[in-house]
Amino acid sequence: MFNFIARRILFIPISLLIVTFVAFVVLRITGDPVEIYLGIESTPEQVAVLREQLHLDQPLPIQFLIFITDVVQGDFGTSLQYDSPAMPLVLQRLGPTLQLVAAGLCIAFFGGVLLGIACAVWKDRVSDFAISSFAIAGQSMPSFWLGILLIQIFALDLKILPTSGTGTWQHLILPSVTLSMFIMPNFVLLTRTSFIETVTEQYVVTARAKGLSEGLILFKHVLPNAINPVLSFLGLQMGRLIGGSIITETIFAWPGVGRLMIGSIFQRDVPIVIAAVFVVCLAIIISNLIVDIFLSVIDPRIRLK
Amino acid sequence: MRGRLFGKNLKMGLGGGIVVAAVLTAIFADFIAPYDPYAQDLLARLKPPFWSEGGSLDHILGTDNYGRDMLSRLIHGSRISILVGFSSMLLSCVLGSVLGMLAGYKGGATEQAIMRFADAHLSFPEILLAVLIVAAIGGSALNLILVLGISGWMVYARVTFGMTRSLKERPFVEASVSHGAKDLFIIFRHIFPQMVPVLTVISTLQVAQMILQETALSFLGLGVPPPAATWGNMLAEGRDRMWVAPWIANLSGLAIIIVVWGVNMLGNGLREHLDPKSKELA
Repeated sequence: MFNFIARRILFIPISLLIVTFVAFVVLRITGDPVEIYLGIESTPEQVAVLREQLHLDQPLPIQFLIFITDVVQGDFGTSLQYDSPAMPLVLQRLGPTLQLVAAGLCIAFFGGVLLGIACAVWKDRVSDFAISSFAIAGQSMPSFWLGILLIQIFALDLKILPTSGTGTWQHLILPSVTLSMFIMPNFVLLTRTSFIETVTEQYVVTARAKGLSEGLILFKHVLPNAINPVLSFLGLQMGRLIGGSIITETIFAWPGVGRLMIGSIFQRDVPIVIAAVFVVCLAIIISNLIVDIFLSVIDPRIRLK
Repeated sequence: MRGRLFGKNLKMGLGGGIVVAAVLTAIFADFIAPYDPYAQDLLARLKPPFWSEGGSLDHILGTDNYGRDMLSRLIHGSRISILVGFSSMLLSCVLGSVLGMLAGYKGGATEQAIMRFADAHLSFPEILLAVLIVAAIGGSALNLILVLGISGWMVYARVTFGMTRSLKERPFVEASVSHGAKDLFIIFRHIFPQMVPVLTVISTLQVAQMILQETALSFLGLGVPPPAATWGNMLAEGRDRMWVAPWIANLSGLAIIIVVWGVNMLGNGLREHLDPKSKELA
């Protein structure tokens, strides 16, 4: 267990190095940052000075080495739009993103598991059919359209929730529901299958033969066993959820990392984009690690090797 | 299972029907569309669909902010989505299966290199990579196909890897080896055909994912740039006008969900037909 965690933590810098390298190379081939910094009225002297300052006169591998040495010291360069260090700007936006992702995750997980259990308990009845069909339709739903629909219904027609922005808890409802729909249908269907399989196990038959009530069987015997595949699936879905937050933030003008990143791409603000990619990947790696550790703690059958 | 209420034949029929209709629409868009999707008619701006007040049968589904006919734009919009969806699926299927079979067949260092890379790539959100690359090289149908194709290979690699590893031990492979068959011959003549059913199912379901990703990138402004008629572009335009013209966003969203749902249905039906033992979610 300890070895496993230690090895995983050792791998984090390597993954981050690869990610940063990809982002760096991809964004450097997009064009000359000097033109964007200086605009069209620049003199050749100004261009030459800036080129040297940004080490653009060096070959690409050297540029990357210089960049990495700065990154290790926490310096991701200076943002073009805001004229201040990039990393603190990204970290400022991390709070709202975490808020959104946490809320979306809770809705998706608890909602998905409850609906999945409902399907399994009333298997092949109308409610099962309705919920599963809804889940399959949900898998086909473009979440950005769902967000727009929710705004139309709850903000424009009923006028009970704000259209976009942040501030009160009401602002969180529509974005987090939209985000949760990225992964909730999968949770519903997986929970349903897992529960239906578990109720045929022998220990459930035994429990029923002992005369335990159906509710007790469900929560003491079926739930702890059936929930495991759902929890390990959760780890796989964290990346998807965090990726989905980029789109959700754009729809609802949510001031998070994703919106900052998309905006910076259009502004060609390379330092911010790289810092944002870095933070997003670190978040995904850490959340996957947490899910894996959590899984091995609650289920001794899963041995971490 | 749900089979009793919603059988596999119904699923395949319904889903397949929608997919065939969508593909035909995309191919014959020029003949079906009542108007030129790019022709602007500023006197007929923001006309609602015929069933709501102020709409007329001239423009059955209304017009957008420049007076372009919505129905024609939706019909032409299917082209990019279908093209990108199917082509990027093919690219990632070929890439992933070849790498997966190689890793499973060779084992050792090849396996470690390919599968660890797949694991690393799997933890990186597809949309993030796509956003980065499209931002760098710009949006065009070809770039979208390349980006989505490259970011989707891991599923195929994992499945073909597992299957190749177990197939490799089977007597018919052993027999072929003892006849002196070459590795590549064994892989393509004996191992690959075994995987066709599973790959068909995964590929079909992936087309749905690819279409969703393409429209998402278009929506973020990173797809084929406007004025091109793509469903994602139309949704993004509709978002800015949802107070006055909600039908622009809603009709585009509806087009996306119908096609993606059809593809998903077809995939689920195919899975029940070809691979009945597999779980609901792979």
